[in-house]
Amino acid sequence: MIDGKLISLRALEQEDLTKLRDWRNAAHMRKTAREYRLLNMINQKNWFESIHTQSSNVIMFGIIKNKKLIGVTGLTYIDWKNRHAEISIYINKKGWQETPEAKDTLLTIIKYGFGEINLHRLWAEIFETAPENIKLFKKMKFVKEGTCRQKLWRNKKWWNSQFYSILSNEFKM
Amino acid sequence: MNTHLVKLRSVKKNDLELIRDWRNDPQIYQFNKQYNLLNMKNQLEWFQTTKNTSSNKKMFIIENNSKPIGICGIVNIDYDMRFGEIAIIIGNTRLHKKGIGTIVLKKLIQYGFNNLKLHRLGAEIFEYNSISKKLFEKVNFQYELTHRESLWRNNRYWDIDYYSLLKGEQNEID
Repeated sequence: MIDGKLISLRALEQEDLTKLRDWRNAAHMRKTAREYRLLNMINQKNWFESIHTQSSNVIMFGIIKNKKLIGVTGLTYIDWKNRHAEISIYINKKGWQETPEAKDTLLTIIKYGFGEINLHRLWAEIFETAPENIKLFKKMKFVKEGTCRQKLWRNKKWWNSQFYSILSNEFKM
Repeated sequence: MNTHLVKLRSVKKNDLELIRDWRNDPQIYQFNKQYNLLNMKNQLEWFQTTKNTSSNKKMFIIENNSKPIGICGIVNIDYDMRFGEIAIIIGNTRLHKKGIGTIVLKKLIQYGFNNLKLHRLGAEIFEYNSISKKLFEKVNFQYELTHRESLWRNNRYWDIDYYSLLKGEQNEID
């Protein structure tokens, strides 16, 4: 376990995958994700296998509160040489971005990324379909790097994405 | 520079040694993320990935006056969201600063928008690569953002700038 103040992180198990599939297929989740397909268990198992290969650049955790799995967080696109990674987070609750658990999860994964695996920069690409996520990362003092124009096609139009990042020397342990 | 002499053609297996030598030249790799030196095994494996039906890159040999002088292409293609990234290496460094990059870039833009039907072309440029910045700005690429301290090289971090061109924005270039 990796303990935050309100939540803890644990490794994901194969048995969690059904739950994760259902969460990721929920409308409020799909709105914020790059994925546009609906996921089935073959997708889930392949993903789970891929994160356990030796060349994997993904570290994922389950978010635990009161012994229950409430969401998933982790680091993806880990670049070990240039020492950066993208933060991934979702909690299975509408409006989760506003919850203290979301904030505590981000703090915990940031501490892990800088303090434990010695990354230098943590980033997030957030599509403008998800202003809630933009608000959350701003609240966590991420710096806006800029806007990628028309990068996602959804609901009959192109959407921009915004990049946010935090450097290890900008974060107080 | 006679622009008609610059042509793009498909990559062949017997180009691989030449490509390897270009990519192992510090004058070339200082401007991309490569940090190891490449051998023929790397090259053959890379060549195979360009041949896969699911390949997300389209690569070409640049010829000047029928001689191979570099390699270019569109990489990291996302066919769903219809974007890709431009990659250009003029391996023969004596031919730098002669306008070949501009010709090649215009050809790739045409290919990306017209043949691949992409919506967006991107380019990642290191902060110290001012020649590339000028080149992409010349053909109307827009600066979008700076990935802060994203490259570790020569004992320090460097920024990486990101540029893009959307379909329709290229019309004014020729």
